Amino acid sequence: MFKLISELLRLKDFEQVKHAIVLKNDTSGTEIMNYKQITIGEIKLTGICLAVPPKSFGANHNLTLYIYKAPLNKETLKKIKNKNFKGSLQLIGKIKEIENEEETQYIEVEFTQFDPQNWKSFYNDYTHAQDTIQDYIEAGEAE
Amino acid sequence: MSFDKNDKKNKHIVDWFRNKSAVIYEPASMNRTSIKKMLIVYGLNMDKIYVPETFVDAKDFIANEKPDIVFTRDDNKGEKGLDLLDLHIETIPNRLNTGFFLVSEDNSPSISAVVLDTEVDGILTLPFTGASLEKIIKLGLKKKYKPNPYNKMIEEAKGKMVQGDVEGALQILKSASDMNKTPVLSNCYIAKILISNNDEKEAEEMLLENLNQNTKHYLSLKELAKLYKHQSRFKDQYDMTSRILDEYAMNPEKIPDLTKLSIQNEKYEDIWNYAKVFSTIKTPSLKITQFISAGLAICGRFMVKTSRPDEGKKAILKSAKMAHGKFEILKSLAESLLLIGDKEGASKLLNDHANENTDEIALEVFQFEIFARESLTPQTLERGRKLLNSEFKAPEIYQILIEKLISGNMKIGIIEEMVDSAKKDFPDLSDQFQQLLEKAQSNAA
Repeated sequence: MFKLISELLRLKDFEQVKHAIVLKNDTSGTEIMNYKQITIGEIKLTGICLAVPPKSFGANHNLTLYIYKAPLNKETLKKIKNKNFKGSLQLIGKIKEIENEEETQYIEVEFTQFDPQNWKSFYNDYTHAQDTIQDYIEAGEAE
Repeated sequence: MSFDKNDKKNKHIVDWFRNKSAVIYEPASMNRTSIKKMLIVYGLNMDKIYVPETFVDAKDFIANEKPDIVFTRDDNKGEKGLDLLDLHIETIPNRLNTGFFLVSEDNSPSISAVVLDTEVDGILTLPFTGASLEKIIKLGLKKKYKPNPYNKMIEEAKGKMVQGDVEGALQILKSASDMNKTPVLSNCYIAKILISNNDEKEAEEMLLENLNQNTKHYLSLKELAKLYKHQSRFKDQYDMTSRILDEYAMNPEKIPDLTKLSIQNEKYEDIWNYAKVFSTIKTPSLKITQFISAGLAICGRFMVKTSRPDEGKKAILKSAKMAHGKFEILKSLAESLLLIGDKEGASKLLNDHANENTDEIALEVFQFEIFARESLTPQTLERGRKLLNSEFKAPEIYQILIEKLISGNMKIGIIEEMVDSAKKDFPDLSDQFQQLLEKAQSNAA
């Protein structure tokens, strides 16, 4: 007759696409190495919007981003602690816009040095995730 | 931005957005700005976009100003976007000229279930791209930009159902069904009305006929599963749920229900499988994690009750790790361990996994409840009195103490004294404490 319900569950339906970011403010010399303090907002064609701790950046500051696929394993976390960023997608950029709130600073970064191919791949990961959800919705709404 | 509002092909879309108003409740300011800009690209006037500071402001604005379009976070520190949806539907029951979008950190395919199961039109998942934002607005509302007569009638009927005019809705739906060769959707809504009128047999026939025409029709499958659950036809519910899951992603909120359904159908292999499957998800969202935790808790309870304590404990500990300190789950897990006499395990679980998200008072009360079960009356009294002199003073502490005094056959005078204190500290609950006293007095008599 029918399969067991548990056999019909698809793991991929519950998996998210996520990345973790750590960064260095190349202008001030400060850094944010705790990925939990950085949230990605909008991903642009040649830039990215992030939420970071307050007062992390000033206008036109330069920064280097290190982007990792989540979840981060212990080995990667150890490497980051030792300032070894091998395996990350590295991008250099400049602060284009800042919005300051009490508990968060929102920054828009415009890239000045990056690999367009790698960035496109990262960008597409997220459009693909959204497209998949849209496909599932359209399948369910079909009459 | 690729949407061109000056392109003649897009005129019907721009016409739809013209003169409409919107509210955007999204904590990240840059996200808000992007959503606002995109709505303007689609033809909304920038002066008609309201950005509330708080959830309460958003609610007030929706209730009073009735904005046509809403963008809201699905969960902002406990504030639920779906509560705004309920309010929006109440204020504008006919959804033909409205748009409701959630913004969510969960970008797993299972989030699609929220759109299928509610009147949400689309979900913007984070992080997002401009292309995605444009797409969800275009596709999420595509049936509304130029609705055909059939869809117009269905939306009108749904609006009437919200307003309580069931007869009016039924008339419109029947006309809609008459005008369509395969009226699966309108018949689905007729079936819902039949169920609410207790014509369950006719509703079931209608829904089964729908599935003859479209074996995968999501709403019909869902309504049948719901009907079978209501009728306690667990086997039929299981079979219908299998059909849904064969085609569609499961709404993670249903994880606990699914586990219960498997138990009701004695499909015990499901239980072992759930415990395995759920714990292998690499990047679950916070919401999914908590529902998985609840599902694992049910698995764990079942396993310990059916004499598989080792597997049960594994599921329980896994659940505790994923519970994120949610008290209701931790309590259920601790109770499962207490069922097999593992008091130490229960206590350790609570201590190890309670965190800043755990309701401190509820936790303290529960730990006291466990203590009271296992301890003699004098020790319980001593610990209870300490709690009543601390920040954990709660009516439940009094309840536990009074019940312990009663079961310990203490003198009625002592019980009366405790009840008087309870009434003094919590006068609103005097009746409840009085009932306990009367029980003690009738025992003593």
